[in-house]
Amino acid sequence: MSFSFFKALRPKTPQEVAKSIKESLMALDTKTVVEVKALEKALEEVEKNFVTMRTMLSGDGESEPNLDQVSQLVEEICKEDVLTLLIHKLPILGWEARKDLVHCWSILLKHKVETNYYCVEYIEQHIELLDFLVVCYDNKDIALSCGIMLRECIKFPSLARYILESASFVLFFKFVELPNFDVASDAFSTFKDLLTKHVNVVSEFLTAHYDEFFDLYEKLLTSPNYVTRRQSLKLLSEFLLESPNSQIMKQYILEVRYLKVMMTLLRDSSKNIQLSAFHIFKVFVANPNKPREVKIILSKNQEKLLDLLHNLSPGKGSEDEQFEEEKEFIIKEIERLSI
Amino acid sequence: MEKKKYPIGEEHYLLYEEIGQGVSASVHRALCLPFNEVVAIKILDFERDNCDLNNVSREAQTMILVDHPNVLKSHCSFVSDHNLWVVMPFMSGGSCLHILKAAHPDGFEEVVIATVLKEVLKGLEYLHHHGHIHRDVKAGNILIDSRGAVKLGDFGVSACLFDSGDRQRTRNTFVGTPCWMAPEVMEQLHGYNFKADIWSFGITALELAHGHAPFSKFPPMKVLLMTLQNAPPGLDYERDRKFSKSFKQMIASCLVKDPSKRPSASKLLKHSFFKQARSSDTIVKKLLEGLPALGDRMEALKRKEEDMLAQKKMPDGKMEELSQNEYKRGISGWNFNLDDMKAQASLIHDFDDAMSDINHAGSSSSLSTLDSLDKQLPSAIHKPSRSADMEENDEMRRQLASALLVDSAVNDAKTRFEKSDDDSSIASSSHEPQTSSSCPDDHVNNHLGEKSDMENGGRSVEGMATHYYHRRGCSSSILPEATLLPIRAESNTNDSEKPQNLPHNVSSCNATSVPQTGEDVLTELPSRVSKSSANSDDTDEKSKVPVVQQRGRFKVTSENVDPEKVAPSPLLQKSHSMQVFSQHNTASIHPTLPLLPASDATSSNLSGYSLFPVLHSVLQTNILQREGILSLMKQITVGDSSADGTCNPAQVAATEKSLLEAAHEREKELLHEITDLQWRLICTQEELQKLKTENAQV
Repeated sequence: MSFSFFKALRPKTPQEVAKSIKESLMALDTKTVVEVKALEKALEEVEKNFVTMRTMLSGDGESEPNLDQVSQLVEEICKEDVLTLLIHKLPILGWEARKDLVHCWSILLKHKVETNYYCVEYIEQHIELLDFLVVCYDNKDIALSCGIMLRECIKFPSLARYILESASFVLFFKFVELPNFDVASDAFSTFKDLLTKHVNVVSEFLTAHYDEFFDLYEKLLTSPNYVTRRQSLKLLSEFLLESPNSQIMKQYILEVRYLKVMMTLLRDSSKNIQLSAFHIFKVFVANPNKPREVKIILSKNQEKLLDLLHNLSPGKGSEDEQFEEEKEFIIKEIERLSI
Repeated sequence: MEKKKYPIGEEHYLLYEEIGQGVSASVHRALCLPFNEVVAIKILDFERDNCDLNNVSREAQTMILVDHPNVLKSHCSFVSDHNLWVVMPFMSGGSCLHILKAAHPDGFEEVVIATVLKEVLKGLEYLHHHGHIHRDVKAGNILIDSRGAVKLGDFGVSACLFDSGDRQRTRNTFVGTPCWMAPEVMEQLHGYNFKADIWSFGITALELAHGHAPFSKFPPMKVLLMTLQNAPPGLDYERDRKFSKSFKQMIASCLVKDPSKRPSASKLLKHSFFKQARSSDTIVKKLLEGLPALGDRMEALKRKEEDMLAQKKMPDGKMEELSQNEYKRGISGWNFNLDDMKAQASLIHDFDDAMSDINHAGSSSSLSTLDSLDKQLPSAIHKPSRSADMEENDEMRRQLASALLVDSAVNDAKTRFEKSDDDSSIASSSHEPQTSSSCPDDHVNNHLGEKSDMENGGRSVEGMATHYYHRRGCSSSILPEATLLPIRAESNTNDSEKPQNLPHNVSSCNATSVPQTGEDVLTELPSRVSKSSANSDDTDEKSKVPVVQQRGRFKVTSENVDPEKVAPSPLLQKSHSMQVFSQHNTASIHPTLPLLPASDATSSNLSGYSLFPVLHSVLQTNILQREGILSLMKQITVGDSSADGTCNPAQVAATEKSLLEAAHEREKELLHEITDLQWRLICTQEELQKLKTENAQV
């Protein structure tokens, strides 16, 4: 009943909704710390407007949204620069408003008006908004919300390409090792999406930035943080073994430096890490065009490597046979090096 | 709204005793040193076998993002070596499952249930509003703090907060927990949504009312089959008279097989049942006062489980030995030509691979022929380790009887044994009051327990496939108990008399009575057969009761009618044909009713025969064979009735003669049906694997 009371006061047209949101967000600027009560009231107003927007975009659980209204709302939000306000006000929004915004965000981005993604185009023209979202991982209160919004953006190749190429991409190598596990793992999810969602974009990026990227990646693989080591090792095998990245892989397995990293990880105290390391290490050994330096390293450590590999087993699992076959092949290859 | 920032790093916390343990995590009471506040810390070892980093991350993030008084959230989480520490509020009351086990084994009062469930429902409403499907709603995940606040916990399928029995065994866990799993989650035909949690919520309501979830005594595979094939469980209008009508209606509205017909959490909150909900003070008074501390309760439960494990080890070895013997005997007992033998062998091989357990093959092959059973019984009797002790004989027969059931081939032997262990512990606890005092109430309790077992048996019958072989198997399993327990026999007789008074349309025909003979062993055969028939009759009546209730429920809520009509699932259609079969079977039972009066004479002779195990087993074998013949005759009779509309005595006599000649043919047909069953089992297994894979991807 109280809801219907509010409904009577709420604007009914998409244009009015967009305008109300804009005004209530801008009103937040005029409040200062001294006016605590006024700020709270302004935040409540924002929250009400977000609920209205949410209802318009996704219905109320009983009825479906009006697609024509959604299109009008999307156009209006872009025209009035509401998207910029939404992103920049994130740090001061209330908890529930933030949740509602995240929910609306994915709908706004995915909505097509005729053949155009209006919101995506808007972000392309205001691309610094993405940098803002990335930097938000430093703010624990909003990191997870921004992470969800970022991953929605990354679904579009043009936006993913921008983030990979931007200076703020380097920040991910710091964020994935943050002490808060929830923030670090969310940052890693975004990082992983960036490197696996659009394989051609990734291939171009890695080709152009091979040295800088793998320099930084080595720090993840050798991190003192167990979770960082394990996740980065697993992700490496995921994107390196993609066929568009085959040239990157061929370059990677020529380098003794990275072979040493894998050999170190093969001796990790963690069984899971050992197994993941094996899947990269085997490519170095199986390479028919091994450079001389790689052969020397493998020969010098032959005995230790053979001991290590004989004792390596995945335990239970359906891939026992395949793993054992691969292991036997690698063992024979290493034994053959002394001949 | 500024949130309290809990410190990151294990140096800021002091761990106290363990208050929970699961597959891959343990939970400790702990002190947050900077705030001097008691918290709960879940420590999850990333190196455990089934730890999936993606699942853990998702759960950690969900718990940070939730902010609702009825949903458990985490204050912070951090990595320490290869462990994840999750800091949470300390829920000193523990889970509702713990409280049920510790102090309310028969369930909570209705007002308590309404209060707890309303809070859970608010939490569910919040989660669903924000796009989360909990997928594991059950008493074990409903937590209570010292002030009586109720929170829904555990957002990961692979991780858990407090101890929940099923979760202890990885093999038993699917997407959620079988007893609480919604039918559409199992089927994976169209995917599932928030409504799956509503089904689990309904099962949880029954759990709080009875002290355990429906079907909780059965192994996981059987739970899956029963959930898909049976009518939805609910409160019994007779047995659960103490609960209100609105409570029964609320549960019925949740346990509708068509998810689109179930209410949303918001809608359900408006149900009249929740008007009686009270404040959290009620929870403190009714549930928490007098309870020992959570850590102490955990210790007690652990000790109990260790005792059960110790008992389990020896029987496990025996079970394996028995299965091996059955397997060998099964092979040697075959009478087929070489091609048939090869076909069977290859089939068993496939079966073995599918189940990854040779015990199943053993159980399966023991079903091939009665000859196998014939050889089996004397061999079992002659084992030196076998004593004449009544209890041990009872256990032996129960095992042999269960080996006859096709369902035993479906279930993992170990899992099944674990379940039966639970049953025995329940039985022993119910007997305990009787030894301490001789009050009539305790005696009644004992009988109620037996009725409960019978009721479960009824459900079991209902859940079985339509093949008649299963019916006979079920009868066989009842027989040994009847012969060993005079009290039970008497109880069954009383039960069977009640159904006779109920008006129901059964086509009648003249029954052929087996002629009585002189004073010798054979005198007892007709009586035993009639007793078996009486038990079958009783079972059928039990299985009919849910249908009657269903009709009553249809009148009360129209929602129950529509799902039955529009049931798209082939499994639901199977359930329908099962009902038809049940009616026919009821008709066929009628001819043997005149034999019932003879059952009284049997009880006086029971004790005499129990002293002669060898003779006893021979008698049992003869009874089984006799019963098989009678069953075949009944089946033919049913066929005749449906064709001609009447039952001709002369025709029955002729049928009986030709029936004996056709026994061998029927045996082959049964073998064919068993083969089909095995194939369907393998298909089911594949679907399960697909389901697991799909879940892992999600």
